[in-house]
Amino acid sequence: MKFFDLILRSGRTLKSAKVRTFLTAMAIGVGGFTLTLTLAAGNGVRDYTTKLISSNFDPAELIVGRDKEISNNGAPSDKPQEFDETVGTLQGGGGQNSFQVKRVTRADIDELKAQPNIEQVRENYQISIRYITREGQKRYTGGGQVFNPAQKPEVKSGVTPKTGDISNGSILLPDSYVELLGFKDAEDAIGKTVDITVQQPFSLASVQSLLQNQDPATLNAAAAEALKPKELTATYTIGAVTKKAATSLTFGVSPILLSTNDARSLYEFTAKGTPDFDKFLFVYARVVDGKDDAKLQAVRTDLEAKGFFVQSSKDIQKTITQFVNILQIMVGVLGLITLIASVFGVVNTQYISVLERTREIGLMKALGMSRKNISRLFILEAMWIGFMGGLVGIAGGTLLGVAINPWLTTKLDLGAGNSLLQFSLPQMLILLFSLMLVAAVAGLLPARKAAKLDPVEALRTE
Amino acid sequence: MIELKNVSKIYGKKSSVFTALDDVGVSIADGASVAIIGKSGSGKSTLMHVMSGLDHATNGLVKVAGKDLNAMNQKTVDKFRNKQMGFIFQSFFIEANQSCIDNVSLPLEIAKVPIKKRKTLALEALKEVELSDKAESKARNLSGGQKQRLAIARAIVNKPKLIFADEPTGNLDSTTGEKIIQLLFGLNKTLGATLVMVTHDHDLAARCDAQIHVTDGKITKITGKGVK
Repeated sequence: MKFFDLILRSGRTLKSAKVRTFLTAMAIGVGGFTLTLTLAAGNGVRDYTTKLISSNFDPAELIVGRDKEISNNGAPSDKPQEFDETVGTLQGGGGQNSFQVKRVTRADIDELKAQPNIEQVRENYQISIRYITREGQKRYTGGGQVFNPAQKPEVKSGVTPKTGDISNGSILLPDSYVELLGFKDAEDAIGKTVDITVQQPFSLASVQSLLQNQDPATLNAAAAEALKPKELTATYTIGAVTKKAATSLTFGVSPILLSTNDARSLYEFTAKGTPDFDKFLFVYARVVDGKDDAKLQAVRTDLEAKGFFVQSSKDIQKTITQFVNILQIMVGVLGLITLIASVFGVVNTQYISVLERTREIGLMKALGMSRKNISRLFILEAMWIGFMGGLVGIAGGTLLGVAINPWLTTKLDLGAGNSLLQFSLPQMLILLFSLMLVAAVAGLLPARKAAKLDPVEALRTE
Repeated sequence: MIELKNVSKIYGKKSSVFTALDDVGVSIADGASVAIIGKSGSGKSTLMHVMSGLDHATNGLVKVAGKDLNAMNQKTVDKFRNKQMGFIFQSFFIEANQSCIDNVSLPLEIAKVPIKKRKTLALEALKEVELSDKAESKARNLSGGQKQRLAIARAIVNKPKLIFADEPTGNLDSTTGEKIIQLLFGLNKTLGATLVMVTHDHDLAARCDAQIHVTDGKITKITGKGVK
């Protein structure tokens, strides 16, 4: 018998037991449905992660720290560390958790800057702004950060430089401030100025100046003055109004972005004299030709040998991807369990089919059909079941996915143009083929039974 | 020419041995119509199965058209049966859910005949049994007599040299049965195919060229011409 005829014949036979075939196929369909959605979600999250990383990190930059927590993927260490001026305590989890981290110092930064393969070292200044305001408006809170060209903030109005820093004296203002500060719209804000005020906490310098004051008459007033926090107000021009990108890793209120120099001067004012001054959890080191992975890795190895702990954007992506993969495997296993259950369904259906069609098998054998072809006929039947189930499951999963994608995008705030479920045709075809293969394996045993039937015995069955 | 020499067929092992055929020898000339006659359980069906290669003889020589079936492997026997033989059974064994033409095409499909030629040959065979108008209808919608005619069409579609019929009229009323018998004898003459019929109907057996009487696995009597 020709293989094509076998395929047709096996398909035709299934038509005579439509309900049974359909129900068995449905079991496979459920597995196919689950796996389709699992794969699609995996694709989507992986794609989203890539976007997230590429719009938040410069691939040529290394994140360099002094503590292994920087490159450690697990939970922070729970062991107390040996005292060192550079170890700082970080508070987290509502202040209930704290962990000690050895930080990068000015000396470390200078060492990094001295490396021939590092073209730029960017400190991760976090500036606590006391308030931002402009004439005739209320005062609002906020935070400041250094502009990072890799972060690609979504621009609502104005322009941001593609490479390099923004010019000194200008800032990128998050759009949430536009209305609060009394601008008509984002366009209106461009070129206008705002005042940013930062505060210097009680510092060593003021105590020192106080100690030099020997005049008891003015001491009290001077002490009161010295203990009062000092403020610095600087005026900046709005270069652009930014919108929080859907792929931004910033939580809460978006920070006001400043040039490196401006950020540095505000930072110095607010932090100088405190024990935390010029100590950073990590700094960004931009590697010459760092987009070339080999060069990036070379610098990384070099830095690690010097006792730094280094992470690249790829490591961060790997960490996230690993998490995604674990989730995907967990859901995928559920799909596989459904599939295993459906395998028994196929075995059962095919066994019944063999029993029911004993005479037909006997006849086909009497008419000269070989054992091999009888066996193939039943395996093909099982594969048809797998094909139909797979088709229904995959199509169902895809339809549902396409239908709920817009809803998921809004619900999960993924940003326009991003979908959680991404379907790939080659993947679906491979899945369909795999489901057929699984069904074929399930059909092996019944097919063997059919092939081994004695035609004389089979034809005697009334 | 079918030639059997010292053929035995033993079922079971050791304690539960059953001898279905006991040292049987017979030879049937080409083109003859032969009835194998005997009571149920006499071994007449087994004799037919051994002749047709459906069943393997335990001992002896089974020569059909010059070939020793007992010495051939299963695959070759299957192929041989597919090309040279046609089968008709008491309970028709047609696939009720399939169309008449698909039923008739089955032996050709197994023989890897191309689809176009299959159709031509199947329609020819259906015409032979006067079922041309039913070609596309489902086999389940046929009457008993029509079903057996369909089975006959399937048996002759590959233009066999041998036709085996196991109680072909057993499930039919006498009028319909008579028509089937006439059709079979007619085909025996027109196609020149040897017709071997298993029956317990003595009247039907008497109308064949020869009769092989089987009792308890042994050939007790051979009457008529063309058989030794």
